[in-house]
Amino acid sequence: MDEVLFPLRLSLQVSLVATLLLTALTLPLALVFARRRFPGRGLLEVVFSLPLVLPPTVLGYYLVVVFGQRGILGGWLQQALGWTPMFNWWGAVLASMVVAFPLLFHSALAALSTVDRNLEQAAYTLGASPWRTFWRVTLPLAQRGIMAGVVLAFARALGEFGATLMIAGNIPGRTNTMPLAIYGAFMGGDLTQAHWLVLIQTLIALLVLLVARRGQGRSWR
Amino acid sequence: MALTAPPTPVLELSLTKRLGAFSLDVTLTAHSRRLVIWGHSGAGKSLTLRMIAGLAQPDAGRLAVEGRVLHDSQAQVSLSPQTRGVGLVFQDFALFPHYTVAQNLAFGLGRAPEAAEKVKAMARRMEVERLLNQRPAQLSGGQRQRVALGRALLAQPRLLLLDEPFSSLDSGLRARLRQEFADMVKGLDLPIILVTHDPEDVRALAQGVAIFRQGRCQGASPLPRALRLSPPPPDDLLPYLEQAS
Repeated sequence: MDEVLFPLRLSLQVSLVATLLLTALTLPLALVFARRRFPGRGLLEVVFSLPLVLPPTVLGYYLVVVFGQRGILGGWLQQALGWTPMFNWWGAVLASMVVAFPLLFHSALAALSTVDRNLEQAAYTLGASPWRTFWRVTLPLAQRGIMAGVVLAFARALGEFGATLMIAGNIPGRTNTMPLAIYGAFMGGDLTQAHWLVLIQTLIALLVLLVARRGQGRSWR
Repeated sequence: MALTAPPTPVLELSLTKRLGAFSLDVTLTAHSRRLVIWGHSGAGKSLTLRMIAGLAQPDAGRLAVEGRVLHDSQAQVSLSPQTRGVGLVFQDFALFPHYTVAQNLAFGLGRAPEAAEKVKAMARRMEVERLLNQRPAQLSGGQRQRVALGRALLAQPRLLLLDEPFSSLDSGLRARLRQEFADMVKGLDLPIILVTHDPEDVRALAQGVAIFRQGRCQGASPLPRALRLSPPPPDDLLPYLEQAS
């Protein structure tokens, strides 16, 4: 039973944490891209789309280059904090964040770009700070598109396989998320376990998409 | 013999700004408490209004309202739109579509005490009290205009700016709404500046008029009394304004 429950619990934990962190990082970035013109903006947008088209193994490779024990950041993190995302569930979080990033970024950018600048400026003339304006005006008006991006990112994180394998490995009881556990069970010939995992993964994906649909019908327009 | 100091102008501004091929260079001193900025489209009226509100930054210049400096490039002073005390009614009214009329009105009150009472009182004054729970999409043009005016007033500005307040209303209603709006605005105890391309707005509301043309303005003058009388002889105002520009 644990062979099924652990990957399920781990997948949900990884996807949830990855989606929350990703949302906190991506929204300010998308807001800057929606509001400012600066040199290199178009190039960056293209770079930000790379995770959509690169094989996840390539992304995983880059993650190891950055966060590996001899990596650009990884060496420093290991020395300063004694922390590494290699071969533990944080590696899976990083992998999920990278692959899900373009989905959230582009949804959020599109949603934020449609918010009428006059409304934000009206809020300023009524005394609202940029912070209050963002929470009371910009975000509520863009929430439908942003939520669609968040749900998409969560669904993508749940299905992440290749980059996770590269950085976190497939360690039973440690880093075997659902997709990795399915692969392990299938390759190990445990088809009953593979059946169950596949069924659960499919049901969760279905549930996420249904929630996304409902969320869209419920917003203010 | 007592010397009386000359009265402080309501508005003193001298601003320049370059936007691509367009260059704005306006100098304007106004003593009228109801000033109408008149000019054809592209004359730089709205840009000037946005600079007064702090929503656009001039390249250089100085701006004071009733002696209070809002922007001075040389002294490196530029107040934020939040602290200028300048209210702005946008051309399209810019009501928050996701909020009710009551929430729109309350937006500038923050956590002011008795916010609910103030909203109710303003709604009564603007004759929108039966619409408090409606959203902007459900309102007529005239109702939206009154909500936008009420919302701006509740933030207690020291100066109120109106950007083409009638241009987005359909022409059948415009004359009646202009008159009602003019009566309402004349009862306000604060200086207003209205931007328009329509000579009828000048007639209905102006004490003084500033004429803009291709990014230039040489100041404001009181509107001749004869042109303020209503009903006016038809079509005498436009030639006057054209000639003055």
